[in-house]
Amino acid sequence: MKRHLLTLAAFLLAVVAALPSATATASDVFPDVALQGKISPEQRQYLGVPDGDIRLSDINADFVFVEVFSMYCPICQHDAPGVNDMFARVLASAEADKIRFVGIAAGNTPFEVAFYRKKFGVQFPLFEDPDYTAHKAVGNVGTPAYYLVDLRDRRRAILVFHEGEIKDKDAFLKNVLGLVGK
Amino acid sequence: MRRALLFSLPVLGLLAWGLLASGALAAHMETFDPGRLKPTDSTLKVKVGDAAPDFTLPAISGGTVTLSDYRGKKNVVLSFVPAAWTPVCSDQWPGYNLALDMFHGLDAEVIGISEDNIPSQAMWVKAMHGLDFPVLSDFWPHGKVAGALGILRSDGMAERAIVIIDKKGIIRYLDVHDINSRPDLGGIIHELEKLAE
Repeated sequence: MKRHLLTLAAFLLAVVAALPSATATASDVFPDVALQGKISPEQRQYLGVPDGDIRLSDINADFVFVEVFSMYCPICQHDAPGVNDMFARVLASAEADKIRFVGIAAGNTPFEVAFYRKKFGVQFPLFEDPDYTAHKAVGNVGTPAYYLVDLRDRRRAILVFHEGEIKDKDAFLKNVLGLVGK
Repeated sequence: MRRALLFSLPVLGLLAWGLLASGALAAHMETFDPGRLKPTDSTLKVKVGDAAPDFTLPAISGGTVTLSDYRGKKNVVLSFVPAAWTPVCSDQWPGYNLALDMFHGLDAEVIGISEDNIPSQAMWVKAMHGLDFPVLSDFWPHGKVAGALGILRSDGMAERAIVIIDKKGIIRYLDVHDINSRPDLGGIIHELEKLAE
């Protein structure tokens, strides 16, 4: 009987482990938020956007990976090196031309965004959202929140949504690159 | 055996739920949302240029912290927050913690104070993944320090306030902030830079 119980326990634990860590958003379309803040000419080139005000839909790529974060959020701070690593691995992948990374700093001022960028050496463009306009538009999600948005048909369909720490970044990135490579 | 298996199912189910629940707790800190509050609800009793009233308060790390011990050594940034386990407060001190090098580079120490008691503060700070600056309890006699500064609200919470005290013990900056929002880190750093000039 002990063997059956152990098998049953193992089965239940496997079920728990296999449950998805992400939940779907209320909306499956990412809002066409304004991306506020100064970015470098190189970052503009990376996003394929002209000088001046830009919106998410202006990004010239098939997919955009969006991180909604806050300088103040301890999980975002903890996740920052891992997100940098994902960015570097995407750049080095076969899908590098198809996907662009952006960060939206919920409730953060230009000073706070600049500090976070410098503290963690973030290379991809980070945008400020001091009055939470973009954060409200995406449904006041907990930070960090991560999205893979499909821009191919300009509908901005959300293909991936994950709220909170990404515990298995290898699996998460594999899923993202798999969707981008389809 | 079937009875034993049936009996074990709920137990194993609880085990599985427990694993899920603890994972969720680690990833998302649950907070109590007090809703929108009256922006300020107190009358300052001090002003810029005054000597800061001295105090000694218990710290979550054990022992006590006395403000005048910093005199001649460090500028002090007192960060008063209204209540543990509330959303804006939980999203304020981890940012100051990340920027501690910047504060220290400007010869300043951050001290966090709330009107909560030590056990509540300690578990809250733990849930915020820890803080490397002193967190002090102004719980008893309730609100004595906040009251002396004139930043104790009528409900017993402190205002969300920043008080910068220079090395001579003089108040150089006061920001009794809208309790519903977080002061900009840049503004605090800018005030410390002015002290360094």
